[in-house]
Amino acid sequence: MNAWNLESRLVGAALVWLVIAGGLGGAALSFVFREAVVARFDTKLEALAEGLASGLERNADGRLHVGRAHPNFAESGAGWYWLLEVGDRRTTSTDAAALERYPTPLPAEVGAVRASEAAGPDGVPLRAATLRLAAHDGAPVRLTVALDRRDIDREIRSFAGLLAVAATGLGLVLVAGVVLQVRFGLAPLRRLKADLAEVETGRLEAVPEAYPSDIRAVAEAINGVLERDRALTAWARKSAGNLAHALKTELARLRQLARERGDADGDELVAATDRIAGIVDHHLSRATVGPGGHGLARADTRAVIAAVVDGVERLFAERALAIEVTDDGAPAFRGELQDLEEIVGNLVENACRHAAGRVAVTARADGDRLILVVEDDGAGLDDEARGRVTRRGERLDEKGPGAGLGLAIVSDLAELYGGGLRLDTSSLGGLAAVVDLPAARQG
Amino acid sequence: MRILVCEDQPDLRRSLGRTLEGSGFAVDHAEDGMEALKYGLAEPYDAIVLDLGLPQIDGMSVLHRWREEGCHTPVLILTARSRWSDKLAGFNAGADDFVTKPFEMDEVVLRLRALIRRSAGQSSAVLTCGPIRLYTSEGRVSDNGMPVDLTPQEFRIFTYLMHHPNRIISRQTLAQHVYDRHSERESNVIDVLISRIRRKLSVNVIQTVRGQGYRLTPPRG
Repeated sequence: MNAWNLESRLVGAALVWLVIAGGLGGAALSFVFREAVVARFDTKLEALAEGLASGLERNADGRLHVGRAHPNFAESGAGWYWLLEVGDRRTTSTDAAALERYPTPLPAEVGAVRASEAAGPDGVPLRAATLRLAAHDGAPVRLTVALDRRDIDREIRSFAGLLAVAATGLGLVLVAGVVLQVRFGLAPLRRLKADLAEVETGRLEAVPEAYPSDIRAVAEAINGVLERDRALTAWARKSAGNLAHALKTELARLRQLARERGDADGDELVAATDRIAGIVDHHLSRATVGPGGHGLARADTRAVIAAVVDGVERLFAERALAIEVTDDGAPAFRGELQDLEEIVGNLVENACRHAAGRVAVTARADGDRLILVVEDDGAGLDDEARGRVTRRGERLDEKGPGAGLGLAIVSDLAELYGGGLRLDTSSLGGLAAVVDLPAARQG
Repeated sequence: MRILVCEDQPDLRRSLGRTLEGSGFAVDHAEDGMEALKYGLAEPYDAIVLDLGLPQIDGMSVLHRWREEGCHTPVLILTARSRWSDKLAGFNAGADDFVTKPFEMDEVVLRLRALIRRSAGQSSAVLTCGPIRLYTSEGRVSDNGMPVDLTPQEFRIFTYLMHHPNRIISRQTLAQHVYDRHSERESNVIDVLISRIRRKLSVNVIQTVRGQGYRLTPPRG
């Protein structure tokens, strides 16, 4: 798995091209500047050479020598030098002895200039321009002017420094711009992520589709998948319910036929049909319940408790039971509504079935968990019976078909949601069933 | 007392019918949702047994329609769906009680008797009128502690009157709660049956209200 997220990738990729483009641009700018500075220096050298050439004179013995010259040439340490070559004879300005050994280039034709690098006194780097003049007495004439080139280098270094500062500033502005651009561009994706989290916690049923067109297409596709998932789950549950109906209707008929026999075989058949009905209940309850895998649902705990209590009051209307509910501040259940209905319904029905007269239902939060406690004032269960009652398909009472499987179903369901069912002794005197379930986040 | 049994499985429907008739009820049968809807709206049943898995119109839709149309007859749902979400949906649709398949016939009878009694506003399982007692759970009558032997039709009439004491009940109403759809309903038969019931009781608790019907009132003193 690649650890880089989309934002890091986009910013990282932008930084790479910024560094490459900045480096190449800086190098190109630096090169062009250097060429311009050298060209300007060469032009100055050429002008000085031509100025010196115009001041060449013949002395008494007919030899050429530099007559007029810029005073800097005569100043020692000024870094201005000239070299006049007539055939093999070399004449130099003050301090220019070092140039005497310098192999000056020969321009291709008279009037042409060639630039070159040289070393002056004490190895000082020089930039030189050699002007070819008309031959004198058959000997080729070259006039070379050289200046200290450290001025150019200083100018180039200064420009490079300035360029680096400007490039760094520009780079930082561009990086900030890229980060802002990426964050702005990815904002709909971050919103989509937040909306999906809302869907996951059950606060939203579907992802809102108020997005830019390209992300809206993704949101619509996600909603399509969610809808199909819900439809498939509903279809599977309906199919399982239909199967239960068909099987149990036939079982009811078979049971009645067996009951009408009125003999030992008939009783055995009745017991067998009850066992089959129990198996059908158990496996179909597992097939039709449990989290759908996407953890999207959220159920109102207090509303479910109220509906279940209303239901059991009708089912046990003949018993005149007192059912006390304490659920102020109970958090919502993070799971399917019908699973919470199954858990609360089975617990309360079981308690009513065994209560002498009182049932207490409590729902509260414990961190991020929802704790349900259902107690009765019945006979309760001993340790051995408590262990057995939550095991798959086990039932302790034989009060009639369909009774007694409730706690095993609750235990299975609670485990499916990462919780559990614990049986204890109630302060009312009977059984206390404590279920630990995931709570939905508040809000 | 008259019951409508809505069940599509023929053997189960017949078994239920036999058991309920044997327990003193007049029973009509509906084989599918259309029939159930029609009979439930047309006849004044004392209770209805409704299977949820009916063909044509499912039981839950039938129940919804009954309640929408103002039929408030107590309904006992017969279902293979033992899940609480199904029960809560049923209660929400207006069901009064549930029995999950497979079931004991006796449980259906007991629950129907309790439903009928509660819907008539009677909280006690034993209804009393002077020395006469109707044990609703067991479906028997005693007079001064001695059992009273009533025929099924007499039992239905007397049970209906015991559930609605101090009210004038017309012969037509009594006939509607005594006979099933296929029986001949002659009003003078009701008079004959009332006379027979009176003869079997030690005190006359059934008063004739001329031109209106009968009223069950406890003996004075």
